[in-house]
Amino acid sequence: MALACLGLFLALLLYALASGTFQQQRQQQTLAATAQEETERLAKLKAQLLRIESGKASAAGFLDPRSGTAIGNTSGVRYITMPPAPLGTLSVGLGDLHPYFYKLSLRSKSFTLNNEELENPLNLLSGPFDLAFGIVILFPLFLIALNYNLLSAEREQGTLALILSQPISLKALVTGKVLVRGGALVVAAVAVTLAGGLLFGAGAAVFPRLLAWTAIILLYGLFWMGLCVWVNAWGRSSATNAIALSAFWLGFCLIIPSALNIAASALYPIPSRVEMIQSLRTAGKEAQEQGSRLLSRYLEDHPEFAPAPAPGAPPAPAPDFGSITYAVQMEVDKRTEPVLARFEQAIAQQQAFVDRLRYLSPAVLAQGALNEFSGTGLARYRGFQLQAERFHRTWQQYFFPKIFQKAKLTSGEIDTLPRFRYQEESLEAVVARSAPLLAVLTLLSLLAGGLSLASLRKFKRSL
Amino acid sequence: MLQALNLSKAYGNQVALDSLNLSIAAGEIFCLLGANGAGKTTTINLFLNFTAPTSGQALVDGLDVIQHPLESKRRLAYIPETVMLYRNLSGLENLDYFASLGTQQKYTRSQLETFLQRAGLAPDAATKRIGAYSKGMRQKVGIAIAIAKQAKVLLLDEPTSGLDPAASNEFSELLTQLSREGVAVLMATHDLFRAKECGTRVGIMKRGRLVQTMATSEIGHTELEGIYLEHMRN
Ligand SMILES: Nc1ncnc2c1ncn2[C@@H]1O[C@H](COP(=O)(O)OP(=O)(O)O)[C@@H](O)[C@H]1O
Ligand SMILES: [Mg+2]
Repeated sequence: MALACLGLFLALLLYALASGTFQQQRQQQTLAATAQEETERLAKLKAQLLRIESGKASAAGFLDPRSGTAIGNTSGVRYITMPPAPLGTLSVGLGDLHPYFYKLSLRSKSFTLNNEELENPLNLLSGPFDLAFGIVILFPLFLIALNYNLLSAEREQGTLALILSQPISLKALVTGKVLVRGGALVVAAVAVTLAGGLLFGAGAAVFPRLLAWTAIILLYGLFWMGLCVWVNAWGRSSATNAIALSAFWLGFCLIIPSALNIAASALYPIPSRVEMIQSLRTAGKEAQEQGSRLLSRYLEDHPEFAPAPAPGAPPAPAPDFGSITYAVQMEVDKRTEPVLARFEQAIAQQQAFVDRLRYLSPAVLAQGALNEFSGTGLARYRGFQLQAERFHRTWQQYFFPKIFQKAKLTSGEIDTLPRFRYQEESLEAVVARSAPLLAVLTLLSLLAGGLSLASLRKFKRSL
Repeated sequence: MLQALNLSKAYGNQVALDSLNLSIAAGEIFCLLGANGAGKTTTINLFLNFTAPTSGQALVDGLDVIQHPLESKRRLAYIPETVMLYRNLSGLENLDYFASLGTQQKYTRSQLETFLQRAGLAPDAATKRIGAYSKGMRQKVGIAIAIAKQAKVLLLDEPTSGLDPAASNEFSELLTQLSREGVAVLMATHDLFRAKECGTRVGIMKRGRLVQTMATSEIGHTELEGIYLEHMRN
């Protein structure tokens, strides 16, 4: 029975690891495909420009292939990509909710870096079936299955009397039993974690992260083992123990996380997608109507970008289509800023709300810490978003002057187009964010352990 | 070897044991007689430290059982009315488990088989699951555990009630043999005949008080029964 339990647990963990690895590999394939598409497209563009420059091809047509508009918006755009999380294979975390790559464009930020599909940015409930789910949700279930009748079964079989007449304290007996049964599950969980991390993780950089995972598994396991002992020390029947422990599991693993989710999105709703699109459209239409006026105002502010006046001709700006479009895009960005800010604010408020209340459930704590150390927590995705926004501005600032000045890009410049480099967050930052989670998890484990030992003392007296 | 010093136990207002003073030497078999509810089980449970005394002391080999819970248990073996064992394990496996709990050491299979044999269990029964054991066979496994533990003290709580006369007799002979090896035995029983046969002393308990003790060598069967019934009458 115990062996079957252990085997099933191990099989489920391996399946969870495979499932997480599969998701991670799909991401990797997507990223590889984008990189290849970009390289090929840029090579083609360069060849085309070379042919034009050597007079072998003509630049005539609706849009000059050398123009900033053509290159910065279509033929020369780069991808903004975040490499897979260091231990994303162990925890998908928020990885299936938040974008991990964008295709650049010169259009507005809200158009290019579109993530308004985010309706539940925190997703406290472990969604995907990955190893983190196996540990946060299944691990306690198996711990309960093996330990719910630790003492009650001995009493119901009548063997407790004979055991207690032996020179072994109840504390030593129960601790030994729970550690043997729980320890087997802990070893299975740690083994699958280490195997998965070492086989599919991002090299040696994952060592400290795996260490943290191991610590979280131990602490979390200790918490549930302590709870099992405590419930057993109530001295009730095995059936009562099973019900009580299931209730704890349900509360910590399902009810509290979903209640926090619901409360967070009810208190701080993410602006609706419809509203976002509506405001984008309005801003776009209004800006479009004032198109040429916006452009001249922009050029008044930035005279250096104005097209060089032909010698002898009056310095009147020629409002071409491309220039107006980008003046409009910048105006759209300015006008949609408040809507985006509300979106950001709602996420920040939800995060702050959950940060305060996640201590109610060790499952939420463990999930949060596991995500952090995997690189699939909210902070890393928000960090990527900020870097992407910054790079989007860099891209615009590179091309807009060229567009306004009607400059033509050369084949040599294709190699030196701005390139996005993701700055991976430091381990220190991860540790700093997870420290309170780990501290409280430790506290809860010690509390559960202490409670169980104290209650055993009472149990003995009531025998 | 076993000593009760003004040992008392009360459950609320109910006095289960009232200042018991008793001393049982090595090699003695002391049989505790008395009606249901007289306090026999309470006495044994106090020696086992299953329950704490309201006042007084229980000593095993001079050790206070509260202050030295593990040391005192190392010296004693307990056989309740029915020795409850793991039903899914064989007698041998049960003995192995409890002997290792009792001695913190591992016996070989042949050693364990010898213990069961000395306790009178048929060799072919040793590997059968406990589920198929009769009560008498379970009691023998209990004795085997005591032998494996090399217990100096045996605490028995109505170990023969429900056994057929032959099994009961066999059990008594085992006790006699152990006491000859120097084990001190305290047995609660309702069987006056067995008490007289194998006991060295008998004590009669009534409402928590040990009202009379006598050496079995000094009285006959009928005399003992007479005294017992006399105590029960008033
Ligand atoms: N756990 C308990 N709680 C309350 N009263 C008890 C408890 N155990 C025993 N008693 C009472 O103590 C008295 C002695 O019981 P016991 O020692 O079991 O008697 P015996 O074994 O001689 O039949 C009885 O009156 C019984 O009701
Ligand atoms: Mg009794």
